[in-house]
Amino acid sequence: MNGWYLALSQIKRNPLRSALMAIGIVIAAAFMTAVALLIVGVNEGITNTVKRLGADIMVVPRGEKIARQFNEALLTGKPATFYLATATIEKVSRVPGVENISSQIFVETLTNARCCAGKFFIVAFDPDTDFTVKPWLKDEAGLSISQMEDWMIVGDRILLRKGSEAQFYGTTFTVAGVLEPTGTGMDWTIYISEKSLRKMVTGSGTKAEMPLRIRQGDYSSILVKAQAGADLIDLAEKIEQAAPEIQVILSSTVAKLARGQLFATAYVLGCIVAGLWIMALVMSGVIFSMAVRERRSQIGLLIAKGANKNFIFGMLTKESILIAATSCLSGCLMGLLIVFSFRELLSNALGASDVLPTAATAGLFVAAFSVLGTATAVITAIMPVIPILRTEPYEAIKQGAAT
Amino acid sequence: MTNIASRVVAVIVAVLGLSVALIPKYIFPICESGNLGFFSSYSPIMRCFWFGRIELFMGGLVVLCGLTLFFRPTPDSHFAIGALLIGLGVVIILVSMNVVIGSTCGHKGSLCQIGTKPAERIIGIIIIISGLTLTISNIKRYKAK
Repeated sequence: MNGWYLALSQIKRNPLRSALMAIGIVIAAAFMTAVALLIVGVNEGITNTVKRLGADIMVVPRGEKIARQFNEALLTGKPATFYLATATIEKVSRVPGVENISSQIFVETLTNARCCAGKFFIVAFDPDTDFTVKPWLKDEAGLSISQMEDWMIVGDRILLRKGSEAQFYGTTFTVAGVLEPTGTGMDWTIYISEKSLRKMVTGSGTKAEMPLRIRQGDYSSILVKAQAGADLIDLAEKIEQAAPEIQVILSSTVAKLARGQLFATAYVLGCIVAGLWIMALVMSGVIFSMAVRERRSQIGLLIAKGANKNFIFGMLTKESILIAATSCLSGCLMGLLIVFSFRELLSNALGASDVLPTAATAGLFVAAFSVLGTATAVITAIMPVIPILRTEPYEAIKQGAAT
Repeated sequence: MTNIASRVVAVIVAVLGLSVALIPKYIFPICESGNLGFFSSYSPIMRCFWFGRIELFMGGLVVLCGLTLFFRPTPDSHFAIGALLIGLGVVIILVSMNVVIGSTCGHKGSLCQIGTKPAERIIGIIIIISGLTLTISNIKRYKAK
């Protein structure tokens, strides 16, 4: 009869106690894995978003609040409205090292727009100079754009398809194309031409519930493509010197800002996870030591019959390993299942492009947490048992019979 | 399985059944009859609504299984309810995978797709595991009887 068989028999003999010991570990392991995967997944999503921005440098009006709003709009498509001074576009285009520029104007729809519930982010751009929106089109919309008067291009997550119509500020727009899923705020954005925007502004005074106030020559952001080999930091400094009223956002800064927000949340979640894990370990340790105390007479009898203390210790360790390993692995897999199942919901809630890391990273995290979780759970379960093993056999049998 | 353990499992099963029934109504609400939340002039009853109703019915059956197990924790009931729970869990998963009533909610970002269905699938899996636990743990006692 080996130690593993004895350990399994003990677990089967008292399934309720074993389940109580396991349940805390399962919940804590699931929560720990889910949080870790979320943090790593969101971080990977930010890196991917920045890689796909298309522009090397983005120019917006000066101000910390504006930078934050712009960052949110890029990552999540949350509407942002701010406008640059009219002459800025000219100043930026003249800076040496700038290869291409494209301007965008941001508009927020009214809450009760006739098409849809909620607020939508509308971005007006010039199709002739654009290098960030059209490359994402699912199919060629160039022809329909030239034929249509008021067209719009919608992100993958907007509930409108090619040919659908929607009305904003009294002007009806027809969907000319849908963008590929980008995993960025572009998925939630509606793109229209600058010409249509000017028409919408003029018409809003009479047709809309509230007039849209955007002056001729107002722009929200200027997207800059640098010349090949240009030093981006040097170019950013030159642009800020040329137009002191603006601030330059490098694509790497977008990642830094987003990560700053992520780490604040991650810190709080990390503390909760650590607390939960400690509680689970203490709970399983207490239950295990109580169970072993109940079995003192059995342990005493085994020693009296010739079993050495190492064998008893090994049997108890194996019992705790069986419970801890099974519960840790199932908890970690449950955490992975939860993040995988609610991937979209969590992405929306956290305002991230994606929350699931690559399969290799996820697998590595599950394996690492299973091993580390099992090791810590076994140590905490076994520690209180050691003094019981030091008791003399006769004393152990007597104490066990008394309880 | 002792009576106490059986009753604990019964309570867990009843809670799972309540979750199946209540998720489409309160936790991740699906479109109700006559309320699409989009294009307010057009308000048909969507399949999503019927999906919610089926889950409510299935959840009710799981609660009934839990209550039966709680008040009659015999080897016979363990075996029968375990088998029944496996079947109910499978049906709950199939309904959420569009096998039974066809596809629902064309928009892949709707709450029905990203919240309700994944939650129902996870609970369906847990119900199957509970059913398997009940069946397997009592198979010896059932055979001996």
